[in-house]
Amino acid sequence: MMFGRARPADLGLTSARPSGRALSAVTAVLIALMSLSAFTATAADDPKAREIMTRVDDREDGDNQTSNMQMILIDKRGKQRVRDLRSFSKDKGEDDYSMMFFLSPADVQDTGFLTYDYDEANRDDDQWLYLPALKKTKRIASSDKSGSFMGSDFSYSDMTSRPLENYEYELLQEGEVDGHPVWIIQSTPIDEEEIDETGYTKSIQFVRKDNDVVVQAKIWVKKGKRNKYMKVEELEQIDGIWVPTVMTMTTKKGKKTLHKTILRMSDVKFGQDLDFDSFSVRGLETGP
Amino acid sequence: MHEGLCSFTRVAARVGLVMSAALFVIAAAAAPSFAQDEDLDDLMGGFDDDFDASEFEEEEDVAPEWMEALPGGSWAYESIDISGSIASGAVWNYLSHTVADSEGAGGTTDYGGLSRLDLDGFLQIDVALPYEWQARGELIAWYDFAYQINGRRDYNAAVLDVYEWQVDSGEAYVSGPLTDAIDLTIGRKVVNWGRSDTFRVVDVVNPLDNKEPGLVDIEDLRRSKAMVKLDIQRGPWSGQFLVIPEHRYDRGPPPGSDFIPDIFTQFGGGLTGSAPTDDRSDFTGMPGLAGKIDGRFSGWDFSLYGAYVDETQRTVDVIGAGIQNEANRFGMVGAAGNFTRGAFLFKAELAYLTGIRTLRLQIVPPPPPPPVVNPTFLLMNQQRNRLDTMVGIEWYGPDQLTVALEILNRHIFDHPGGNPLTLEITPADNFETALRVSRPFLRERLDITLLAVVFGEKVQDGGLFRASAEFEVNDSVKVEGGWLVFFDGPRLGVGAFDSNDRIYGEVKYSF
Repeated sequence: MMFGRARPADLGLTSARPSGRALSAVTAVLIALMSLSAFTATAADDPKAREIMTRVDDREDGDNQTSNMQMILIDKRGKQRVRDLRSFSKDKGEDDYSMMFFLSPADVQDTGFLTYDYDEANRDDDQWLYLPALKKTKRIASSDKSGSFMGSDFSYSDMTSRPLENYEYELLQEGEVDGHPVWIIQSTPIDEEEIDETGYTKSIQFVRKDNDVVVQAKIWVKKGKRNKYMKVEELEQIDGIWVPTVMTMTTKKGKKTLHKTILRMSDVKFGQDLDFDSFSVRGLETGP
Repeated sequence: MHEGLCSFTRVAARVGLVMSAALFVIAAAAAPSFAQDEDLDDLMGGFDDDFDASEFEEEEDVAPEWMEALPGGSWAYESIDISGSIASGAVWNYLSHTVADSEGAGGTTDYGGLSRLDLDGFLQIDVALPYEWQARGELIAWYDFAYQINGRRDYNAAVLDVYEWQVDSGEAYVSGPLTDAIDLTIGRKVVNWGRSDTFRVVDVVNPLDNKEPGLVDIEDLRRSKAMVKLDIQRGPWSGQFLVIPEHRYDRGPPPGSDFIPDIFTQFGGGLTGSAPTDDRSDFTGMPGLAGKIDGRFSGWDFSLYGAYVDETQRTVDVIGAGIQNEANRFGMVGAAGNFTRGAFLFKAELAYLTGIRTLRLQIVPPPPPPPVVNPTFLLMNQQRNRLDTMVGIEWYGPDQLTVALEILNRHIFDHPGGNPLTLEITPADNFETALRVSRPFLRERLDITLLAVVFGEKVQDGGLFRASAEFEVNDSVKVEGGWLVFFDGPRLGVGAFDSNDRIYGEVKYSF
């Protein structure tokens, strides 16, 4: 028998349930919020809205990506916590391989997540977690994706693309965000299963007309009468690919802010020399 | 063994009560609410228009001027990473109890009250070397003030040696790629094999630091061992091969400590005195050899293991009137695997071990006549083969609730259980069950973990329960507190834990 003190299997990070999507986290958030992919026209489905969402889904998001990610978690009293990560991602056909490593805080430094995110709707992701305190890599099961991603206002479902034939879309109106014309589109899950998995009952996205990037979203959270507000604060074109480099997600109850997360991407590079063998347990244990 | 149903009922009731209460708290916090806001009037409202990204600009990572002024300062800043922690912790035994101790004053030691008040430090230095090689060195040190406060003379030398202070090296190695597919590591290293979070089945390489069962910080749980390690990767397959020249053993509670009474005083026959602690490290004799092959696939994986290494548990060898530690080499072949299905993770481990030492008390038949009222005992070692089997399941529930159950049995072959002239200290079948429930709260600032481990197939051999909470004060400071309860059981060693219930706390600064 052996049972070290502290942490279920290391500082609660097994419960962090990495969803991966390290590198293109921001892009993934946007794509997830879009709820795109295959089409199953329903009575409430709006062909024009679905066409826009398809374009968002088809937008080039790069491959062989490396980046640094910083999450600033701000509670309702303004107290901040900071998580710095280094992330890598590579496409394998329609599947995504990704790996991310904690750089800070110090006590979880070198903790690594490896995810094979499969495009196939009914196929569970493969996920591994490297725990440096234990010197051990542990396989993690897929799970409910409505939980908080590393304590932030982003959920795991925000960080992965959804099988979005499970959504119906409606173009509500057109408008303007930060001087850019946008379409305002509502997406609604078609069944309770999707709601249970994501924790969201509905969302409204603001899609920029000039580049098909979701720059704002309001999300209705099933639990606790809450709303989440996503906003792209800085958008850059890197190697011809639009990359939101700063975005915020704010959780509110009514008009009261409960928590806020600032997600910042830096040193974003595409087309890096990443081979598939790097996305392995050996790669996890070797570190960034 | 003895108390059967009574023991089972009592232990199960205590474990059940404590777990039920704690689970209720977690479940209540996890209960969903289905209300939602359907109002679209404020479609454009709610977004923060006053956000200024420049307020949260990342600081540029540059070397301080004084460091750049040093020769090689810029290289050192880029290539050397120093991290670690300083922690202070305390343990309070709230049950008054004494432990037999042949060397202590009056033959007993009172372990009630303050059990630990320590200051410990951990330092890790990583150096990035050319060609993607890296070097790491770790240092662990602590000093426990409790023995000065309580009076050092009340403890025997072995207890003070293990618990009062220590300076130890952790990992110390250089590592890097030989080719795109092969990595080489040379130095002291921890290699953690297997799938279990609680039990060691195929995890036979490194010894454990388990001086305070249930309360050793997880970073310090394994003791590194010098080795040459080769890792090979090709697609979903990987291999690992180890040559281990260093002999190093578990660090456990010494006789006369809070956890192990000086049992040898009970049996006479010259078997008095505490067994020496075992901090030996030597490189004599043939090195240990070990290896594994892993295959990782979508939804499942497996590993095959083989090893011929030192037994890491300290063995007691009886030579005449003395007790000495002696290394014992054993063989192991094993397998382990995972299988995932939705939110469930299934795991299993199997190991067949040859030449494992077990302890036996042999009754020396009295010469006739006259009859001897008190028979003489002889403590002796037996070498046997053993089959270890572990199965487990983890469930990843809503709100990051995780429940993990693991069941282990160690079966000893050719066990002479029915011999009236012997008392086998190691039973033929040794069942252990571990249930762990954990969940983060407050956006992962607070982690609560409940752990129950019970011994015996019917929970008749006792066990323990631990409830712990860890709270993140800020990015550098965490506080942890917990409650550890031992349940009575007849198994040697476990029974001695019965009065060791304790609460503990720690403040830790990481840098």
